[in-house]
Amino acid sequence: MNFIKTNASLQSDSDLILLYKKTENLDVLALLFQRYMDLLYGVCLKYLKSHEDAQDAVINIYEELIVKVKKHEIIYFKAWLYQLTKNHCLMKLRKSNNKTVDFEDGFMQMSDDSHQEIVFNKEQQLLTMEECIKTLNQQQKITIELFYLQSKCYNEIAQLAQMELGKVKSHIQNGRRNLKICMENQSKSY
Amino acid sequence: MEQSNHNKKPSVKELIDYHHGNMSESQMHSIEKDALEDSFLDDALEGFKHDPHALPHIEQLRKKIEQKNKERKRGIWFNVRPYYPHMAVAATLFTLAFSAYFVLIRTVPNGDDSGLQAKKSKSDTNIVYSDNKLSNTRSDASVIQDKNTNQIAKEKINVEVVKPESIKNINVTEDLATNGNESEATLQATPQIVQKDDDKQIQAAVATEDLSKSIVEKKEEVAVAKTNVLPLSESRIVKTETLDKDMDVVAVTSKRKMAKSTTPMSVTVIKNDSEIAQNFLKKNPFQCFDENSYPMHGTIIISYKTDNQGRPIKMKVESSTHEKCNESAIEHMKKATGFDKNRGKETLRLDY
Repeated sequence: MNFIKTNASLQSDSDLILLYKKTENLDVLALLFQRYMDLLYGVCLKYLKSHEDAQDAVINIYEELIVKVKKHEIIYFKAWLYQLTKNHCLMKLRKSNNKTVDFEDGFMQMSDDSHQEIVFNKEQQLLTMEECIKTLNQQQKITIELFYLQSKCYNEIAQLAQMELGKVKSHIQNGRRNLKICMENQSKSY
Repeated sequence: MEQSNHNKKPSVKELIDYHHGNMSESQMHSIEKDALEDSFLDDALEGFKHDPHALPHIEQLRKKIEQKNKERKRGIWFNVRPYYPHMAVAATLFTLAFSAYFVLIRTVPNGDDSGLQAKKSKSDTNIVYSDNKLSNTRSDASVIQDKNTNQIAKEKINVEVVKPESIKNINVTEDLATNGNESEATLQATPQIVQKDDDKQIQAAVATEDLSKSIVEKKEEVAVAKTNVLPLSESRIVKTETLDKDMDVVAVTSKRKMAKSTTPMSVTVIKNDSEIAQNFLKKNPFQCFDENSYPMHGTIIISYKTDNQGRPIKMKVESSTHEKCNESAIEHMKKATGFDKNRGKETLRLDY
């Protein structure tokens, strides 16, 4: 186990997946899983609210993984695991009818668009960003500027802009999305 | 969300500290920036808000996962280890039951058991006694089958001949109860011996046991009788002839293979000491009808004496399948003539 740990800790997620598929060694899978277990636990906490339910969910997800990793062709393990975790938690919530999901501000805007990150040329990116920031509404413009240009945290922005903390995050996320759309349109026009 | 950035992600402690406000604004900003880039981290960051003691809980999770791995490696026998005592008890009980079964199989004889049979070492021996005065002994072994029983496929009768010293004119009636299903069923019998010695009847169990000990001197297989398969509700007559005419007591050993028989069957083995009666019955077969004028099937055993003209008198029904046929049977036998004159009590059998 120690030998596996020392070797495997240096390996990428894809290598560990291949090694697990080849050897079916659960220590390898456990090592891979534990890289993201704390995040996974946090996601489960977000949806299920109770730490006991979240712990059960994490164990269940691990058991699912033992089978599913062998079956599926996984390219981005982290993204795949995140999606699996969300699905598991939502299914659990659906089964227990008395529980409802709280949709906080900005939740709906958190689309899983991290895969669609477009790499821009930095200079061109800055130019277009300046142009696009001007197109944002006032609140989004203030929060984006404070967050990205002045590196203020949410608390500071809330105090400076006299907004609620939840709304700061929401405005930043919505501003980010609008910026992205704007910058994509700009790049197309070039 | 690159897969190589797992080392760069903020630790759980940092995520918890973020909610507790135990970090600088620049650190918080850094985490928030990461979270905006990584929705997985963003959700987790939001989630840790609900568990301020997340660190020990995550440690518990690590231990649980290691435990799971150990259990899976050890396999099913590890999982059933708590049930080892129960399994041991079950195995012991099973062994005891199995041993008891074999002991019973060896000690208990096959088939139904009568009190008589349990006492007999060779339990399938039944005894037919004949009148020692008769010079030309002919013993008839009949199998009477109930209307509802199935057919009998094969029958083999071994006759043991023994010499009596004081027994006269004994008829043995056997009741057979079989439970054979295509297996060889030994004829199970409880003989009912009717002895004509000062008109006394001797009960089978006692008599047979005593007689079999005292009078059996010679054992010889004398006849093998085969019977045909008859339709339902018909009786069969198995005729065996003794080779040694001086032998008076005949023991019948009967083994039969039952094809399909689930209901008890009665077997009557009697000695008709008069050929005249048999000849008469062959020429004038007796028939009995029910209320719908359908012929019935059964057997009647009649005892009688003869007068000085050789006619049967003092006829009495000893046993009968249908009581309503008794009178007509006696009337039928009154027509018979030519018996030995002034004979003592005889028995004859009417199959209809």
